[in-house]
Amino acid sequence: MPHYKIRDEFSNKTALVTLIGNEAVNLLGVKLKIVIPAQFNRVAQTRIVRGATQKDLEFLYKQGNPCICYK
Amino acid sequence: MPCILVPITADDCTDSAGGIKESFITDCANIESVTFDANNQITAFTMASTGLWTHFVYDNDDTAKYDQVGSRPSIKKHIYDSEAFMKFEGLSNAKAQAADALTSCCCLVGIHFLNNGTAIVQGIMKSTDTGNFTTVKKKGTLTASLLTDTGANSDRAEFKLISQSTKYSHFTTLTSTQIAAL
Repeated sequence: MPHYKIRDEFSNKTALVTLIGNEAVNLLGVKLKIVIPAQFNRVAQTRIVRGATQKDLEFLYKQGNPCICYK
Repeated sequence: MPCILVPITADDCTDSAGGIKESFITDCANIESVTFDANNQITAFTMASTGLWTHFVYDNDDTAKYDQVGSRPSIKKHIYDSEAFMKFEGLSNAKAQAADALTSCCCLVGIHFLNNGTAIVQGIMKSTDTGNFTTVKKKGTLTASLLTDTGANSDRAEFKLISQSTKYSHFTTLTSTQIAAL
């Protein structure tokens, strides 16, 4: 059954982070926990990025995201 | 084949306040793909991770700007020399470190938020081959100046993000809040 997936040329990436509204999602479908180190004018942050669902991929594909195909 | 021209009619009441108020900058290598709408505006970035856009808020004194100055070296060639200027008063180790980090990069992309509310992306353009993005003719690089000036003036850091492109810098529909969340 066809479904939305990552194009072959992007499939070797460790993360593909984009936005749905104001929320970051990982197109690879895996939840990410990223620690952004502290800098002079910024405290360290830990960000959680949720994995994208099929519905997310469908939405982004229809927006024209070049990383996603339907097959 | 004849050129297809696009008309412009003077706007009655458009906010045309000049200058830029904040920018986000990243290394080109952090961008995996760019989504464009039918009007060639950027509607999304896909990044190699999260938190890769670095935020710069410069002095609010009407000195910051982003200019794309066109020239035509030959009849078939038109280019834009693009330059974003940002000033940060008060020299400090933090600003020197920021300057050093930026000047070590060989390919930068900047998103500049204009005082009129729109945003322009410097350093990339739409690829006519793939529909994805490509870097511009001369990739974005940053020149930093760290100036004490004289006692009559302010000490300051000045950054110039410079690139050259055969096409205008794309506008983006993304907001500052969205870029910060990406």
